[in-house]
Amino acid sequence: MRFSLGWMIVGSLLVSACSNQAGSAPATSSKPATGSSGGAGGGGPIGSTPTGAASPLESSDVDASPVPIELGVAKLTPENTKIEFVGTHTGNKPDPRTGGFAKFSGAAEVDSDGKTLKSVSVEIETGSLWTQMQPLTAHLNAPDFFDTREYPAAKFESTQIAADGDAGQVTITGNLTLLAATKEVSFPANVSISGEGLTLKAKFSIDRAEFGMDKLVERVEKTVSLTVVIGEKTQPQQGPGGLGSARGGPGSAPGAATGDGKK
Amino acid sequence: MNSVIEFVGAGIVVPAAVSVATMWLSRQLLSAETSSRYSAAAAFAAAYGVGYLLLPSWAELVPKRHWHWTPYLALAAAVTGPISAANGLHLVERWLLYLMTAFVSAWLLVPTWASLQPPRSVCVPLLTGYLFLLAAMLEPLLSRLPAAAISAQLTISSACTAILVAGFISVTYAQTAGIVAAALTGCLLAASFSSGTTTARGLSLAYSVTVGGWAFIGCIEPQRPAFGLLLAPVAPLSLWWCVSGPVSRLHRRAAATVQTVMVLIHLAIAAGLMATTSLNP
Repeated sequence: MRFSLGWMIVGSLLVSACSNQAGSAPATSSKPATGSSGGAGGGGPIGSTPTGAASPLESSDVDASPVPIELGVAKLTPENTKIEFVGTHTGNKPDPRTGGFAKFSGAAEVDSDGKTLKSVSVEIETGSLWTQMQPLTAHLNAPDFFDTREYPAAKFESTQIAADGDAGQVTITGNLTLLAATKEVSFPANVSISGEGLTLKAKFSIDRAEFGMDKLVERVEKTVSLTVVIGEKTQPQQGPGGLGSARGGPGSAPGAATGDGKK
Repeated sequence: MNSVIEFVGAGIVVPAAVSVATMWLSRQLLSAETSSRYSAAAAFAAAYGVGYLLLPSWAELVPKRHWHWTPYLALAAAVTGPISAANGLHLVERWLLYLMTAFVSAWLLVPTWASLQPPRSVCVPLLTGYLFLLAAMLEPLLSRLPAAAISAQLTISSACTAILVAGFISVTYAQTAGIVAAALTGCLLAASFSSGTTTARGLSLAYSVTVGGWAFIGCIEPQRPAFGLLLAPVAPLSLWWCVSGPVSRLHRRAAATVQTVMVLIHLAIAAGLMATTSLNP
């Protein structure tokens, strides 16, 4: 006989800064069904948010600075890209909490005519995650959520980018690897390619439980909202801290996602 | 509500009941001398094993991660601990058994993360020393103090360790570490309602490996080690102040009170250290 849950009462009394009012968070789970062939619509149109969760920004509010494209590739770093998430509690008080990642590296490839996006890939150092509260950051690093010690990296690699009809609107399909699971996700994005460079804005939801991040589902919603903006710098609202301080701190030089911390 | 009932039932009641039943069985089946050494340790290991078995599937039975080894280490310690408590064993032989068990435990409990600080080459000997000293200093106390009294303090310390892990590290880890406290609760209940023949001899190694082990697991989980956690399992060692001097001559109830206060003070220091560290990263 196996059962689920435990220590909720005791844990909730003591993890007050983390998972009670202080919030909780992310977890990822592809809301667009895993394995679905594109067009599942991710979390819906750009700017859509998970049920009950407040969005920290709408894509239309973001003024993105184009990332230069060199030899058909725009290099993605925390200096020119941001990846953020919003998690909420279950029940009548969702208390949305915003967080993101301070270390990652990636590339966005455009086709030879420089007018369409061909592929996007990014590798994230999970231990670089930040939130608005240090105890929450520490808790998210723990095995209850990201388990960053065991899984120091998360990845996304696109497999298909299809135009949606409207100018600049595309649906990006790819494989998201989080914890030990790799699932296919699809989400809409607004892409702009010009002589100055590339910008991309995407907002979608995933189900963290699908990736094995299934702890504390009675208190923390499984659905997590993700926002990716290529063209906007990562600006952690508070550095990673608590007992789970990241190795390099926020805004550190990119390129470390595949290095330090790998077992 | 159902999940709370499940947790209380499978995470606390069942292990405690298994512990009580195993202690009773061992007294029935084993000789008095053997039972005095094995009953508590066997009860503890059986209870922890059953509790672990009832955990969700993320608590894997085939160890894939360092903390998956804890129920097997508890079992090993439940064998070597009572052996080391046998009459006629030289102190050096006893300590060698402790050292071997502590080393094997450390080898399995220290993860192989590249980012581990201190590195594994430092953690293994440090943890070996920690587990060894804890067991070596605790075992004599098990013989000097009444079983119920020492079991109570071990239960309080293990429960506090699990609570600190829940509050500062991980609820997942705490859920497993909490079973240790439930198992010791069973030992306490058995000792409390026995005819006075029950002892806690042989339990120190199992306690050291599991409670000390979980404190270590929680300690090294964050990027910056939470060393305050390591103070919680050693709280029962403060009972050495109670086995000699004026405190040792106190009446039973007064002695129990003083013992509990001393352990709680120690645990409060550990909790305060954890709280301070988390507020000032």
